[in-house]
Amino acid sequence: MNRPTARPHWAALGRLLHQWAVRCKTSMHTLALQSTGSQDHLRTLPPGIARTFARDVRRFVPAPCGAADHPGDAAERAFKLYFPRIARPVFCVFTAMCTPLFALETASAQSGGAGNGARQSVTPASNQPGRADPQAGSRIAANGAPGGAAACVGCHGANGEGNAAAGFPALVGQPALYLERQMRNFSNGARVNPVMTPIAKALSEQQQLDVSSWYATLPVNAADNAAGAGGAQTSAASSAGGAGGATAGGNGKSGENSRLIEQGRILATQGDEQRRVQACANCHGPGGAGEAPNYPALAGQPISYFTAAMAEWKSGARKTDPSNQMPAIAKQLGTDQIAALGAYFASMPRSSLTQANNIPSGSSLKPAIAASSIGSGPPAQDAGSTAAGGQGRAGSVSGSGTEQGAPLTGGNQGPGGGGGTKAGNPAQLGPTTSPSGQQRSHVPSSQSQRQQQQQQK
Amino acid sequence: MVTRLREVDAVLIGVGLVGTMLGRELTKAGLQVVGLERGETRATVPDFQGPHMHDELRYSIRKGLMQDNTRETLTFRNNSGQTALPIRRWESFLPGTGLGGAAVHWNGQTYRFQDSDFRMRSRVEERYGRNFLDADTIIGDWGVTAADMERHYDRFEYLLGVSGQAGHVQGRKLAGGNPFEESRSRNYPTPPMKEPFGSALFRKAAASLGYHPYPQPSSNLSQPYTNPEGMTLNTCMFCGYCERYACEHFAKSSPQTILLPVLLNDKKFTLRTQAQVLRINLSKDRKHATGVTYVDGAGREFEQPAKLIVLGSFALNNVRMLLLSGIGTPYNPQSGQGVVGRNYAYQTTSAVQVFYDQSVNINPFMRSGANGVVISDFVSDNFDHGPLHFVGGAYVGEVMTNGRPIEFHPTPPGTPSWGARWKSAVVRHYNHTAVLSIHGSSVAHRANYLDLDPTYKDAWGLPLLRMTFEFPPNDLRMSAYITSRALDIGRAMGGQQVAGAPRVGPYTITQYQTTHNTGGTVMGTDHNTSVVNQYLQSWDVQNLFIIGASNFPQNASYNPTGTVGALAYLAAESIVQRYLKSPGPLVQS
Repeated sequence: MNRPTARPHWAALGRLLHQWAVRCKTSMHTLALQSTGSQDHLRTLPPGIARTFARDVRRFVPAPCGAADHPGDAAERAFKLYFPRIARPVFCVFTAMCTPLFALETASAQSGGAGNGARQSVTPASNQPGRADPQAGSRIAANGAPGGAAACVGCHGANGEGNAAAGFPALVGQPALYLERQMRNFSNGARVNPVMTPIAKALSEQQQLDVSSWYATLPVNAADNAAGAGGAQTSAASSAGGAGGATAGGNGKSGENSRLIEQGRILATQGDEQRRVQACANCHGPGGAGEAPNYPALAGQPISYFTAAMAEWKSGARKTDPSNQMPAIAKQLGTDQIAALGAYFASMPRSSLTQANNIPSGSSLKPAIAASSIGSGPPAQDAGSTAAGGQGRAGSVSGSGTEQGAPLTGGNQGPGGGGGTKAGNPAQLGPTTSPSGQQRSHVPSSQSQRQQQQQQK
Repeated sequence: MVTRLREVDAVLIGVGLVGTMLGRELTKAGLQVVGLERGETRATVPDFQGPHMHDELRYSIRKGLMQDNTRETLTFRNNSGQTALPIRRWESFLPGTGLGGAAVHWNGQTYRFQDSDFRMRSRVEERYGRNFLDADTIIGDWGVTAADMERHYDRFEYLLGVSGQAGHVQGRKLAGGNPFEESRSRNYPTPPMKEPFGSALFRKAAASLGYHPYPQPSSNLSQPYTNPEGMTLNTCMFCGYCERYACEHFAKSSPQTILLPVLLNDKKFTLRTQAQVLRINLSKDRKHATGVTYVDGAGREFEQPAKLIVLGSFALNNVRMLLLSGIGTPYNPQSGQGVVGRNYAYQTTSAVQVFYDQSVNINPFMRSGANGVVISDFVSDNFDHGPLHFVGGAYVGEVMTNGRPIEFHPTPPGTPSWGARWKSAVVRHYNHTAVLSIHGSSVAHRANYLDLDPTYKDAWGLPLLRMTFEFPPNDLRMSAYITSRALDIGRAMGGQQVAGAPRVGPYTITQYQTTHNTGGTVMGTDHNTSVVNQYLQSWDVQNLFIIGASNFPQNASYNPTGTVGALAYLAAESIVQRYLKSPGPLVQS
C-alpha cells in the first residue's frame, strides 16, 4: 500500500495507518482483523494521531458518519468516487480499519456536544484572521448577535434542519460558499427577504463567514434525526398535500402526493421540452444533492421554502444568479410544476455528498482531488528528468485516440500533431524552453510542506 | 419494390443546420417540404440531459453522436499511390448524424471569413504576383465578396444569438473587438462570454507583444437571448462538455434551440427520420432532378419526387451523394479535369502548451466550447506573406474547452506515456497548464481529392467515399511560422515551460485534429472549376442546390460554421427570390 508508485493519496493514508499500527503495537493486518471485534484498543490511541488520521480520512470519506449512514457506506462511496478500480479486498481492509475510528469520532461527537475536536479539524486554520471560524459561528447560531441578529436556531433549528411548517429552509448540508453568498446578498439587497435582510445587515462580514461555515460543517444525519424518523419525507407529505390543493381523504391525499412527487421527479431529472426547462439535476446534482460550492442542495428542503424561493426568482426579489438561468427557469415553470418539484425535493433524503468538497472560504484545505498533488509520497519525478536526452523519447503524445492535453476546439491536437505524433520521430520534438532551472524538479508548495510537517508530528 | 410517393415542392437531404434553415425559409415561401434525415430524432429534453450527457466514454471516446461507421464510413489514403482503407473508428474528424446534425455537437465558434478569403486567388495574385503560389496549388475565388455575405452573416448570427465583441461596425473600429474583421452592420446580438483565467493570461501576453486579442465569438451564450424566430436560449454554464456533446441547458445554438421546434410546428413541413437517401434521381436528359430514392428504417425503398432538391448534408456526404447520383464530372487528379471531389481541403492545426507552477490554477474544467481569447494578426492576409513564401494563415488563441478526465492529461515533453511517472505528471500538471490553439487554413491542392472507392461498400451496397489527402507544403510552412509566433506568446505568458511544435506530415487519420472537412462541391463563377454557381445552384442540374462546407474552394483560417450558415441564407434567398420566380439556371454556363 505504501509503494512509492502508489497514488499520493494512498501513500499518505498508508503512512498514517502504519503510524497508527505502530502506536498500537501491532501490524496493520492484525489491526484490521482486531478492529472488527473489540474497539477497546482505540481508546489508547493518542488524541493527536487520532485527530490527524480523522482529518485525512475525512478527505476520502465525504461526510461525518452517524448511525443512519454507516461509515462503511460513506467510505465505499468515497472509494468508488476516487479509486474506481480498487480491488475489493483492499477496500475491505480499509473499511475494517475505518470502522472503529468512525465509532470513536461519533462517540466523541456525542459526548463532546456541539464543538468537538473532529469538527475543528475540518477547519484547522480557524483562528487566522479573515478566515471563517465555525466556533464563533456556532455562538451566533445559538445566541444571535448584538444589533438585532436573532439566534439562527430559533427558525432554522438546532441542527440546521429548518422548519417546514413556517417555510424556513434547512441550512444543513449546504455549501459554505453558497451560504456566505446568501448572507451577503441579503445584506446588499441582491436578495430581498423581510426576515433575513435585517439579520444579515446586523452581522459583520466576518460574522457572516463564521456562521456560514458553522452550518456548512453540521452533520446531515443529526438534522435528519432531529426532524424525526424520515423527517424530510413527513414534512414533504404534509406540506405537499397542502400545496397540491383540495384533496379528500387520507388515501386520496397520499395518492395525490405520490403523483406529485413523480411529476416532480420527471421534471427534476429530465426537464420539459415544451417549456424549454432543463433538468434540475444538471446543476443541483442527482436527487438535488447539490454541487458545492456554487449550487445549493435542494434535497430535504421544505416544500414551503422551495415554492417561496421560486416565487422570489420569478418576481425578481432574488437577483443572485449572474447567469440569469434561475429567473428564466422559474418564469417558465407553472405553479403546479413548482409544487411538484417542491414535493419531489422535499421527499429526497439530504445527501452528505455535498460536503465532500464543502470547504469554508479562507480555509487552507483543498478538495480531495486537488489535495492529491500535495504533500505526500515521493516528489513526482515527472517531466523532465529524462527530457534532456529526449530525442528518442519525444512521443509523449500517443499516436491514436485521445488527445492528452490537446485542445479540442473544433480543431486541434496535441503539440506537434500530425503524423509526427508517432513516438520516436525526432521531428516532433518541439522547441522547449526552460526559463527556470527549477521547473523540472518537484517544488513542494508551502501547503505540502505544512502537511508533511503535520504528518511527522 | 419501390413505393412512389406523392410529389412535393422540395425535399431536403439531411436535416441538420442547413436543412433546418432551408426548411424554414422554403415553408415560409409557401412550399410543401419533406425533410429526410438518416439519423434519429432528438431533442434537448430528454435526450441531452445530465448526468448521462456527461458520459465521456460514450460520447468522446465511442463517439456516441457521430455517423455510424459500421454502416457508412469512408476510406482513406495519403496519396494516389496507396490503397485506401476504410476508417473503422472516427478519430481525425467526426461527422455527425441525427436530427440537428453536427450542429448538435459543435463547439459554437462562430466566425466570419474575410474578403481576402473569398477572393483568395485574385488577392494573392494582386498582392504577391502570379508566380507566388506553389505549383499544383489550386485555390480559387468564391464568386462572392465579404460585402455580399455581410447580410447573411448578420442574419445567421442573430439567429444563433452569438456572443462576441465587434471590432469594426459600419466602418468604425471598436476597441476590444477584432480589428481585422470586415465592416459589419451591427454588433453581435449578445456580449462576449466571461473570460477564463488562462485566456486572460493569453490576452495580457499577446497584447504585450503588440497583437490584438479579442474574445472569440461564441454560440454558447453569455446571457439569455430570444432570436427573431421567437426561440429563447439560456446562458452557458461552463460545464466543459460542449464539443462531442449536446447542450443540456438550451445554451448552445443548435437547430434544436434556434429553429427546429418552429419548423416542426409548421404544417407545410414533414420530417422523416431514419431515411437513408441512396441517390438523387435525374430526368432522361440528366439536367433535371425528379426526386430522391431513400430507404427507411424498416428497409423499405421509397421514391420521393420533388420539384426542388436541397442537398445539405455534411460536406463529405454532399460530395458522395453527387458521385452516387452521377451528377457532375468526377475530378481526375491526373488530367486535372472534372470538378466533383476537387478542392478537398482541411485545416492545419497545431498547439502550444504552457506549463505553470502550482500557484497558477487554470481550472480547465470550467470552460465552454467557444470561450476564450484569440488574435487574428496572423489570419488570412492580415500580415505580409511576401517574405514568408506561403499563403493563408491561422488564428492563435487560448480557447480551451474542457478538463475532462479521459481526454485532458497535459504533460511536458519527455514524460513517459504510461506508468506511475506519467500519473504523477498528470496530477502535477492537470490544473496548471494552458493550451494555445493554432487554427490554420488549408489550401486546395491538385493531389487532394474525394472520389468513390473501387472496393469498399456501405450497408446498402453503395461505394464508400475515398479520401486522398496530404498536407500541402504551403500549409506546413504556414504552420511552422505561426506556431513559432504562438510559442513566443506562450513564453510571454509566464509559465515554467513552454512546449509546442508545428504541424508536420504525414497526415494521420488516427488522431483528432478537426471536423472541418471542406470542398468537393465548390462554388465559383466558372463551371470548369466549380460544382455550383455563386447561388449554390448545381451547374448541371438546375433544380438542385448544394449547401455546406463542401462549397469552400479552400479552407480559411477561421472555423467554418459561421460561413456555412451564411451560405445557407444566401442559398435560401437565391431560391426564394430568384429561382422560384423563374425556375432555370440562375447563371448561364
